[in-house]
Amino acid sequence: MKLIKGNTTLSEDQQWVESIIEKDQLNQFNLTNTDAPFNYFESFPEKMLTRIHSEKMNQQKTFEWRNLFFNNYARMAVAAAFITVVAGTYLMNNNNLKKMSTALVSIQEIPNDEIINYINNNEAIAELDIDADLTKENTSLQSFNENEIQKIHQSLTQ
Amino acid sequence: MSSDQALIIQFQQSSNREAVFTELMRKHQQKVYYQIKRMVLEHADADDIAQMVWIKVWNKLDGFKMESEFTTWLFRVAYNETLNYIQKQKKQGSRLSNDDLFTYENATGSSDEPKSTEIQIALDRSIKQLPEKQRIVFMLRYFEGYDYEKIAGIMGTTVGGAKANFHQAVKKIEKFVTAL
Repeated sequence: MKLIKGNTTLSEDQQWVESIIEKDQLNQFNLTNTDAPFNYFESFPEKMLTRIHSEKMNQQKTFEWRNLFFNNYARMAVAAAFITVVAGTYLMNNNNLKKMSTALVSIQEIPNDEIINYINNNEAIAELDIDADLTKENTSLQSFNENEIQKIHQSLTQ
Repeated sequence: MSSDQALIIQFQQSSNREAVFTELMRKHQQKVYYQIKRMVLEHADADDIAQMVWIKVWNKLDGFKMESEFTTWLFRVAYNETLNYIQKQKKQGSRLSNDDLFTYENATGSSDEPKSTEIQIALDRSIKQLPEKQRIVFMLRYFEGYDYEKIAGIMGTTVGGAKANFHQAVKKIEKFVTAL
């Protein structure tokens, strides 16, 4: 039997298939592929209801845990944000104070004794400072006192 | 026996949903199971999928609006769940390959068996080798006797698509059987 093109009825389609394979063999195929274990359909609804119950219980548990977790999590998040803001503000203020205090201390405020002690203990640094001052542009000898000029003279003649 | 529509309304309104749902299951479980079994062929797989289908139906039945026939919707859920299951199995590589099926069939059928058994094996093999869509259309059309509108509704395709799938399925079976 050839395929009838266009709108085919159910019986035409079935006849077409049966012209290729015998009906008995098709029925046999259907039987072997639609069998189920003994009593399967009798017990299936009960098994399903038990499973639906357990799924519901699991969903409820998950929901409760999720609620509990998110409530605690939300509280912790608020606390963490608060601590971050307070700590951040403190650190920022502290840094600004440090900068300000550094800026306010000038050479005039350091006692002379401390400066002399520092120079005596760090002669090499003092010499370097003088050398550095000499190499600066627009440096004139008037900016040095007599002792310093003698020191420079000695270092040049050695 | 109550109609599907009446049962669904009862389910949506009643506090005794389990009894109503059990009635719905008793009414349709066999067709759902057979549709799945024809696609996956193994009882264990068909049982797993059938359970997933009925859980989905339980969860979604409250929102069912009767815009389509209940059975069309039910078989569509079954069809989609089965396709998802097959795809997952394919990804995991746990399904029997066609070679395995062939070896199994060769082992079970000896050469001196009558011609009808050979044809039976060929039919079995040719249907198993069809792509899932063609196989399910063939099953629904030939064995269940559904019209193409219903098949298209179940598979989420057009009537033309369903007809084409049936046509291709029969052609492939014919080619396989006549090659014997």
